[in-house]
Amino acid sequence: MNSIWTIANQEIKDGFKNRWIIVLTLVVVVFSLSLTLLGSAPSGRVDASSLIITVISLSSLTIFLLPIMGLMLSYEALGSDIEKGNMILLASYPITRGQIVIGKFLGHIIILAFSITIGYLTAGITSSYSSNSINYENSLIFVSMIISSIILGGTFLSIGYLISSFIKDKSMAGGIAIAIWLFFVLIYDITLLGTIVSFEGIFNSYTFNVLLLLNPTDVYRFLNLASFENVANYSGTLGIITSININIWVLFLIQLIWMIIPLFLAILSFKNKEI
Amino acid sequence: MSVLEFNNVTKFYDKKMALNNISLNVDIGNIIALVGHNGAGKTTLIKLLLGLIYPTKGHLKVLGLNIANPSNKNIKKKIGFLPETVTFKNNMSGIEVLNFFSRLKNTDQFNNMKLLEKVGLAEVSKQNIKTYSKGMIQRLGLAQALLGTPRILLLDEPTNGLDPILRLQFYDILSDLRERGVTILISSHALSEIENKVDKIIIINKGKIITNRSLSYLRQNTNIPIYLRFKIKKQVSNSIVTKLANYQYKLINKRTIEFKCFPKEKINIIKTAFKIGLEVDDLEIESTSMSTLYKYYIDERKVI
Repeated sequence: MNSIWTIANQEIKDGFKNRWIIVLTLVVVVFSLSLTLLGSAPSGRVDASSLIITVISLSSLTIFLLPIMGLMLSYEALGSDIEKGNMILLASYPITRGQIVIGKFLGHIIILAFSITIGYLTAGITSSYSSNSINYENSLIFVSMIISSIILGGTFLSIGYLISSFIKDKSMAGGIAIAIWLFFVLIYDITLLGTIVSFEGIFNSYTFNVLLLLNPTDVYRFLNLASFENVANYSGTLGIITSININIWVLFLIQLIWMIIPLFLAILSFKNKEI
Repeated sequence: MSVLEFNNVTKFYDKKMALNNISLNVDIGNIIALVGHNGAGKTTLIKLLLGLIYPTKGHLKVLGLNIANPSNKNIKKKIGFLPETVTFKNNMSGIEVLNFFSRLKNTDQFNNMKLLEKVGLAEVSKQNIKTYSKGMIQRLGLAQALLGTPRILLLDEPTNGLDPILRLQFYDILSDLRERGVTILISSHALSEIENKVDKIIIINKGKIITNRSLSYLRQNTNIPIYLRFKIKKQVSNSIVTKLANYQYKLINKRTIEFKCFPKEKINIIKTAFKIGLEVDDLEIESTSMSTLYKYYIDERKVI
């Protein structure tokens, strides 16, 4: 555990020294605040709490922004160290390959969690302060969104590590990362909808919902836009998913599985890699 | 006692053979030179010793244990390693690098500054590595290899980028470590530099060990002539010339005679020189250089 934390700590320090942790946080803050302050303007006054509107806006932002952030942090995390020759030295120390991957992942997810928490809290506090709409239930929904956002970022970090464990070449790894982002964020849902329309009657809404769980961004949508009645009433999208009732803890569990499996595969692949 | 043992180790990278049935024992407290062409298998051998790759056939032991077994990872605490191209993150300082690696090895960070002093980097310990020269980075690499008083040092081209004075200091550090029982394996192309600093030489070619002997043994047992130059007090007389009729020699000048012989004949020639009454002022022996020996073994592919 000590070795894992040493590696993680190094990644965090590295993030601060390179200042990209600050850049990352600023990006999240700017996007979140923009959505919170400007996003509700076209909709005018609604009955919903402004914190709930913020949850809906931030969830939509998260689905696009965090996967790409996670992938960009990790797609060359192992490959570039092997290429530069840093990894051979690191691996010569009394530390297993698994500890190296977990340590780096831990450092990166802490960085991501830091940026998400600061950014989303800024948006949440601003929105609650301006409308004075804070209550226990809404706060819980907001905290749940922050946690699931961190896990979503972590999922794409893991996928990035998996890419990095297979591919040394930086540009190829970058290309694959973008393709994966496009697939999960855009192509998967469009393809699924197209398939349902084309084969009407074959796929029912239950099958559709189950297929959505095979996409981590859709699991996130389930969790934040459909699981809480307060939010689902106003989110408008994904009304279809209310036809199945999945417990929120099960959704968190599916999210965690989505984060752990690619990381586990990355460790396996990295263990057998000749450095 | 053997600290490094290879037993019939073969290593393939896909279908390419990198090491071919290597058997080798390295004793405690020796400095061993590992020499060979690029791609001969030197780095593969070092990677196997570090447990970074595994043998395709055969097995190896480091300090009596199988390093490929993850449960034996703590053996690595006893190994110091300096890779051929050592790089560190540019945004870290020298002392931060040592502290980081020191935490991984669980060694006392209090000694890290002393290590930097030892390699001459104490004054720049807090500077970012991006301000370091290649030689300074190499010295920092050496300092990290010395963390935690290792029992085995694996050094891949360790004097790359070091100036002549630093090279001498580097070999002083190595002899000091050898005296303390540290076993050192140096992979190097700088043959003349390591010539008189090592106990044994392992020549490796196309994945096979060609020889694993001391330099003096190799010199004694190869048929490469050496030269003995006697500088004498008086001019060479006709009677001396007559007495030397059976020897292969030439007069370099009126007061210098050069003998060409095989290493095993060296002592006899010296005895003869005194016996026939040469008044020797000075004696110069031109032994076979390590480069010549290396070429000899690689060309002949002799296995000794």
